[in-house]
Amino acid sequence: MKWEFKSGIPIYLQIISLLKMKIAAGELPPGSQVQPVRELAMEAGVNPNTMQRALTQLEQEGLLYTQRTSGRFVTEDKQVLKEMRKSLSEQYVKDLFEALSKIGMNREEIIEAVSSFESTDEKEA
Amino acid sequence: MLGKLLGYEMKAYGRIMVPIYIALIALSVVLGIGFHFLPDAMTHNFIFILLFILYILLLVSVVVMTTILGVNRYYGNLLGREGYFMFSLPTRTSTMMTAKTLAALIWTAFGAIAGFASILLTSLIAFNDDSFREIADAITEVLPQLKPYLGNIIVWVIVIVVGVVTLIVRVYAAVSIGSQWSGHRMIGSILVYIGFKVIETIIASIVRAITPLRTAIENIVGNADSASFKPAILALVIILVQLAIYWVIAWFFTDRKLNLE
Amino acid sequence: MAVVVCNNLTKRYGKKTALQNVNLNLEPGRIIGLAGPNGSGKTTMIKLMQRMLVPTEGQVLIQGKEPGPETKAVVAYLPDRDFLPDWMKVSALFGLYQSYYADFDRAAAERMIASLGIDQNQTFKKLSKGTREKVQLILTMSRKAQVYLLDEPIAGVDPAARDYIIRTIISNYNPEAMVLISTHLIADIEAVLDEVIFLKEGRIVLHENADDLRTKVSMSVDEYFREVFRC
Repeated sequence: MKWEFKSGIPIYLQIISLLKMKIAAGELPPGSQVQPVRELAMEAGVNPNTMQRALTQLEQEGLLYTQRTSGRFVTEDKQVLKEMRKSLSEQYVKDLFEALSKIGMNREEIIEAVSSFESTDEKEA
Repeated sequence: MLGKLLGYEMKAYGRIMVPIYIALIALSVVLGIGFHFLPDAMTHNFIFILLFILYILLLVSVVVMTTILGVNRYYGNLLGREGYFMFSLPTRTSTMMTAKTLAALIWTAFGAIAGFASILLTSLIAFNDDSFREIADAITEVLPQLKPYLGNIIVWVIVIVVGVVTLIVRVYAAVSIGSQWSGHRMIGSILVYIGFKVIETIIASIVRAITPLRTAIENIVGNADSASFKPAILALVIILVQLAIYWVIAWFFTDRKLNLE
Repeated sequence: MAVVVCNNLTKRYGKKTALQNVNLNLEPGRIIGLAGPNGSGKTTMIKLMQRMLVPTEGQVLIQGKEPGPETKAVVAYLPDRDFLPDWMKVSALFGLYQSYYADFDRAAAERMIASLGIDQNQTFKKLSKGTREKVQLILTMSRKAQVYLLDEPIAGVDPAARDYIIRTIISNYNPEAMVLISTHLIADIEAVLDEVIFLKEGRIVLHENADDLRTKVSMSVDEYFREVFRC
């Protein structure tokens, strides 16, 4: 997942969602150690203060935890991870509904389209 | 900090001047040996004549390069592109000016010594016989007779040294004013230098035109006996006044009116 | 406690006003963008902080002191042009910085030079333009300074060099220090800024936290910059 930032949204919020995506996608597996702030900031090309702010918020949400001596880790709490996935998926579903309503589909039609959808991977299989 | 700055200046001059000195001394030895074994070489040996011309060119280049470096260590290093580095150093403008002035003075002295040493070396090798011993003997004989004038000689040496310093600082004052004229720094500096000389001449004429002053000076210079300190002291005072004025001008335009390119 | 303070700072060249009544408090620990088109007074402001110019009115204070030898010892300045004695070898330049600046971390500078594969025995003049710029940046950022003044560090460089410069700044600046980066291309450095200052014709038209500004105007700082400075 690449560090790319969109305009008009505070960068720390964008970092938070990017890090959540990395956790959800397994790029940062449960229990794994997160890089130090400065390194992470360098990789993302952002201000270390901004990165710090994003990590602090993720800690408050319980997705990360700090061990005083050894650094910052991704939570292994299944419940927290499940909720994070749920909230991420809600955002995607919301985007989907918005996009499809714009092209004139109603709720039933959208649900119909989703349930009859076969991904290209499945077709090939 | 002054020591560090001076060390840096010495290196900046040294990388250009030391090779010239080495070439000069080497050529002096070659010429000395040539003169010694081929006293008539100057008249018919083409290579020898070529070497002699090269030697003269090297002597000239000692003077020319010392002058160019002296100007450029201020004009280029302090007021040019490298000024962004120099003025970021944790030091005062006056400290940098002192380091530059000292370096210019030291390398002027080195230049004079190198030139004198090379001529002496050539003569030593060329006339390595009794005639040289005679000259040496004559000098040792004359020296004790100069003893009563020793104090006076020292003062005159000081006058010469301060005179060289004043010359250097006058150049600094000229380039620091000339550099105010963005885009025409070089020509501006030259014009200001000429302006300084014109003003000096005018002031000197005015002083001569004022009769009481003129008489006072004539009394000091004219009536003094050969052992008197008065003329030397008068010269020293005049030069020191010039030095102070040029120093203040150079400092003001370098520090308060800095205009880096 | 602000590390750099400007009080009614004004600079005029003859009749031309380069900087007009600038009041600023810049806090340590922040990376601040000084943005404005060419000729808006960015370089004048930075030069005033280094006492390469003397204010016409008002004052600038660094750690409570007027710029001078004491402040220069804690300010690392990167001008917008080649500024080093170019006849020296890279290793000699390290020696120069080491002898003049107590806060220079030579080992760090040598590591960075080595990681770029630059030969320390090369004369500065003989390096390519891009390499010279990198060496100058490395020398500047290898000081553990209290204030970094970076004048247009990314103007006219290719994207790879830009990324290198940004990474070098982020990974080397002293976290207790204030970093001021001037630019007329804010998009390139937007993501590293804590705060932005917009300078227009010698006056400050905006000084705000970058993320707050994005929320407020619902656009990137760069987009907003383009709107404010539209020709």
